[in-house]
Amino acid sequence: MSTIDGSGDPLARLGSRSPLSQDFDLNLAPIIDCFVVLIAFVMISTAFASIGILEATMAAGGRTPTGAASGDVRLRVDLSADGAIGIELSGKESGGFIVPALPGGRRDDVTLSRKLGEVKKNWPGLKQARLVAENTVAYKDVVSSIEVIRRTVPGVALDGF
Amino acid sequence: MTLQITSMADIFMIILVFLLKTYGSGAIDVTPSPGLIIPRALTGSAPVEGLKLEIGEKTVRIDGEIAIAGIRDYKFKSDDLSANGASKALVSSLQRKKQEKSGSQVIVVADQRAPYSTIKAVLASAAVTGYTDFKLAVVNPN
Repeated sequence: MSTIDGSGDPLARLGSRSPLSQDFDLNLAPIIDCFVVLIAFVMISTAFASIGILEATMAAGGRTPTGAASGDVRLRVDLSADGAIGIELSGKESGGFIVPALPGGRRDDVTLSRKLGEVKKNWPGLKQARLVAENTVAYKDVVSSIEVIRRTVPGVALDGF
Repeated sequence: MTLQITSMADIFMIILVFLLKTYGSGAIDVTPSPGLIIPRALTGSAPVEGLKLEIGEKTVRIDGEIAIAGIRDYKFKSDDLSANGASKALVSSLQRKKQEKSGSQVIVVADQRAPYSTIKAVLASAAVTGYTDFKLAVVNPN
């Protein structure tokens, strides 16, 4: 066995201390080895991107629109391919307005949120909205709109089938 | 010279605790195919499990297995779509899957560039097969 001083005496590492002495140095090298392996394993297998779930239902087919029984009015949000957003109310209150697209064709989610807030203020019982998008609208925009609508109206049903 | 590894052990311990704390923070076990970009959105829903329908640029996968490989630019072939908007090939694959795995919950893992027409076709196919509870997988920005 090799020792620090090369004398071959294992007690030489401990100097003149007795073998029964509790004054010793913990060998951290194997612990470090374990940590390196564990850290590498955990870093590889950790999902840093947290995948979440966005609830969305599918509007039923037929003539009776989904949400008819959820309140006094029915809300429908239309996404156009050019970035404009249509909001349509039917039932006890009929009407609609269009949120024009921002420069560059981006959707104006802030105005949409504000308009939906106004609708919700007038009709607190409104619990569901139907979302219709043109065929070419990207899924990203659909998800973004669902996120905005759900801040005001808890249920969103995808429609246009 | 003696290497002071006590401080290194301390650093490693802190890194390990941090990693173990963040380990498995993903709500659901989703491994998207390379190139697939999941849209970002804030969610508050609890994690769920269900049949995973992945919509990519060229393929639609069911639980990681390729169900349809013939789509182009996220769009189904027109002759594959039936009158109700469902994809015949996807309906066939989903029916086989339904026999293996029961349940009505579907987690849609779609690329953010996919057009709504494709999403509709996939949802219609799932609905025809008996999968009626839809969840959209998104990347939580937090």
